[in-house]
Amino acid sequence: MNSLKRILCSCVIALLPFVVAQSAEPPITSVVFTPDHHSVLAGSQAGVALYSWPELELKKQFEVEMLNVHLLSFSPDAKHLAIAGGNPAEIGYVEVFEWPTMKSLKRIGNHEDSVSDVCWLDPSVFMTASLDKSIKTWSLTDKSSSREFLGHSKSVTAICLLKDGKTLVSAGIDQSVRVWKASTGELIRTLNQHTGRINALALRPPVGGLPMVASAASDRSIRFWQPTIGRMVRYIRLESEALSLGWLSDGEHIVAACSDGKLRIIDTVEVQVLKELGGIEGWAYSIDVNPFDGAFVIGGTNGQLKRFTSGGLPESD
Amino acid sequence: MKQIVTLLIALACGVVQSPASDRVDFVNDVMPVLTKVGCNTGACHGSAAGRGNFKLSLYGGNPQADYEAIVREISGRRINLQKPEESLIILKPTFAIDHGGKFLLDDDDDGTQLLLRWIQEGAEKVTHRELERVEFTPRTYFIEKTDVDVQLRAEAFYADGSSQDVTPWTVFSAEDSSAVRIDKDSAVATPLRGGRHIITARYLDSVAPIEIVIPLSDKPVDLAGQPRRNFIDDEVLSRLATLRLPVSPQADDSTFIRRVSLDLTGRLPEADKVMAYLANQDQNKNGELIDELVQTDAFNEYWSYKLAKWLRMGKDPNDENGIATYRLWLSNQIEKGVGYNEIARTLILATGDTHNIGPANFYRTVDGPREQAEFVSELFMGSRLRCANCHNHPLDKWTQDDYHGLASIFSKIENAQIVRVRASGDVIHPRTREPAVARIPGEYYLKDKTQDGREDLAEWLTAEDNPYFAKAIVNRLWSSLMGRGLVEPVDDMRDTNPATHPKLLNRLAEDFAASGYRLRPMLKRIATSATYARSSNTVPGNAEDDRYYSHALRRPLEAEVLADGISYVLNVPAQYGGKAPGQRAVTLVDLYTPSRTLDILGRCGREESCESETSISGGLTRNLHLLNGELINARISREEGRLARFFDADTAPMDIIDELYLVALSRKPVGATRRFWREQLANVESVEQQQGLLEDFLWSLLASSKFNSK
Repeated sequence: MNSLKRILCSCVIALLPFVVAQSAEPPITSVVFTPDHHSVLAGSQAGVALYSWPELELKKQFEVEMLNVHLLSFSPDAKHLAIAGGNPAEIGYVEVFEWPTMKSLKRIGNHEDSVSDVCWLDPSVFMTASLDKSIKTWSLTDKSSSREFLGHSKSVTAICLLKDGKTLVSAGIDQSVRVWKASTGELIRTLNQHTGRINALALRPPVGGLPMVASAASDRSIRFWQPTIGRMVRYIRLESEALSLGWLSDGEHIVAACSDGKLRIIDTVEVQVLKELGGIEGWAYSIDVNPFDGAFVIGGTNGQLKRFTSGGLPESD
Repeated sequence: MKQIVTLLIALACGVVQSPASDRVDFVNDVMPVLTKVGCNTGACHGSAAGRGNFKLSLYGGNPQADYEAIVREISGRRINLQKPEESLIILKPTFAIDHGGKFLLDDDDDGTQLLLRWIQEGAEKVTHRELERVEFTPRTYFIEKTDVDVQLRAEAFYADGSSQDVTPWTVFSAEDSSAVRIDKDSAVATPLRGGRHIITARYLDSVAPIEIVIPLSDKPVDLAGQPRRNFIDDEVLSRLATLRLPVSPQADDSTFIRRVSLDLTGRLPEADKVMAYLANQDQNKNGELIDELVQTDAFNEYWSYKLAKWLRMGKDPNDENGIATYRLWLSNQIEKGVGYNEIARTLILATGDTHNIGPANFYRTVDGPREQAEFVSELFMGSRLRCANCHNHPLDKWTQDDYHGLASIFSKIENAQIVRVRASGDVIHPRTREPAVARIPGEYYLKDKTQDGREDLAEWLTAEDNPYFAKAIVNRLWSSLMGRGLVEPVDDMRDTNPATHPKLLNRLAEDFAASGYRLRPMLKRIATSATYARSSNTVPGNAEDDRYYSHALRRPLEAEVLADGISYVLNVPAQYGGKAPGQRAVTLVDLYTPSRTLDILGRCGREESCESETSISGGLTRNLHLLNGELINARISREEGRLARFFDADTAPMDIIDELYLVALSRKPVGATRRFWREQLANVESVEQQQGLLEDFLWSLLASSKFNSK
């Protein structure tokens, strides 16, 4: 038996130079917990897939029209799922699905490049940030855009709406964070401290005081802003560029998914990295925090999806 | 065991794909495609800011960053692993969708297919082998006539011992596209006219010049009888013979004494010196004249001024003391004949109170360590390291590590009135966003961060085997006397901008080092050559030559020298700024002393590099000012002037013309010129008319191109 094993091993070793990895999977570019927090949706060029939580077992796959999926976002009433993206350098739009049936409802948007981010103003109105430099407002009932925000000189990569429902914060490749009056599209201020492409914004959960937004950029910094007064409160520079941010529910810690595949849990008051968790091989594009169990899920290069807890080690692949 | 069996079954079923070495190599296959079609050029995505949110390193200098830009950035939008043919990196260059760079690749082009295959294989950063070097051939090619095809070739050699013909992915570009036609598909170059043509060959970030030489005439020239006074003549004549360029004869004595006096002292020769020289029949009179000139105070003044320009000695508005101390120190170095290596070493290592220690002002020339690195590299290495600030130098060997590493050496320098070395100081490397590691450019890193790296720098720079230092200064000296550097521009020495006479440059540098890096012997060596003494009058066949020294190149006088020359001929002193009337312009300690005259005459501006003899500006303004401005007109008839003194002494009009000619052009008028002025004088009747005519004569003399050039 042993000699047979040796022979087989020899065969395998002999063949090894001819063994190549199978083609890589498309990167997972967006992850989001379902409204019940029992499942995770992951978006990529392969479409959208539903995974169980915390096992991360593939349950279902959904095809989408667009070539690139950039963001998955549930409406505040949890009745709709917006799948944002498009065909790069051609068109950007949102495919709206009914949740949880995943019945395709409509395609909204006429951006000239992919939609990179979405935020909801109410259960039927959302805004889109696009790589075509613009931000637009859309209604589920009326497919045309009611307002356009122009000001970024390059692609807009992230937007978020403050809890007041009136103030929109955007960021982009032009290295600026911009604050807008959501109702009119009036630019209130531009914050220019970043020195690299801004990848993500994350609004701190309400913990009292002025609202705070974190921004992550290719200058490897995360900056913490009070957008209503235009103040940069703090910043931290990481060893690697953060691509996606998620606040923990205490409003004091933020977790960053980084381009070295690692996760970094940051104390935003002391602005220091508390924990660095080995993540995935390649870039970790997206993170979402599960408010129920405090764990988080990341998606990234080669279709990797992993669960982490703030305790430290990955629990499953 | 089960796993092994499974693997074998998988192998049998054909799950396993092509051999690993057959997979598309990102660095050695994909990057050359991008370079070949121009995606990563400075005009496209290789520019500092990139294009359309897509930035590549210039000519692929940073494959890791390029891989991330192509595959990872913006959620990996440029690569579609699900539908490879829908990848932006395919759709854009094939112009399937709108592309600012327009159409670059056909769908069935090898490059397109290679990109597609790479994406189909997973768009991974696979690299099978490490590129060690690229050999471009031919390096120098001599052909007898134009319209002959020259096959260009590039072969890459890898660390594993393998090699590959990479000609199809090599970019060949002619320095002058009107002189050489290059077929991009076949890599065939066809020279369209005679001369020496340079083709730049680039494969990835390996770059080299290819020289093609075609004689400028069908008939050989006989240069055997030409005078050869030192190795300069051997090298120059050798090049001229190859190019079949006939040479102009030696300049006449008047031209020579004027030229050599202006070149070595910045002054017109005095009339009695000219007459004595013209009368001297000694065969070695040129050598004796040169020996005499380099020992004069005027030589010290003029070469202090020349070096002050190269050192960019600009007065800090609030620190006149510093600049005065600096210039005085420099003048002393010139006067004592201190070696240029010692001068450089002293400057680099200088510290202390700039009001008392002249060379310490070296660190007040520019602000900031990066600017200091650029200044030092241009001054002492004749190399534009500044291009490596944002990216590896596209046409040279310099990397960002070299640039920021050199800047790091100067990062601890505090350049207030007291120049001192601080305990700490950094420059941030833009790629790593970390403090740059101090580095001797192109050589090695300085590991000890606490050490003052300037000592290492000075040691390396002034070492006899330094490949840049001696060449940089001898090229400047050559340019000063010959009107064009062997490498031009003089601060842009690099492989892809080769010297017109590489061997001559080497020999001059060796000679300079052998004579203790002293300026005088080098200047004497050049000035005593027959090449230097050649006439600027052309002969049939060499009129178009502007770089091989078949005839002397006429050069405009520097603004300060011209202003001093005009004052000398008129014998009317000029005044610059608040200085005492009569101070010569070349002795102004502050090169930027307010003076409209010097500005109009083309004085090198504070913001300019002032490097080249050919950079003397002014142009039309200078000419108009000479013709119509007050510089000459308002001073011609001044009572203390030379002309008025002639009038007072009742000097005969034709003698006045002779004398003024002698003072201004080192000769007396002859032939038609002399006849012309004699006739003009004969046509005037009154003394006033005669004097008016002589004023006109003097004006025409000073406004002439013969006067304001050498």
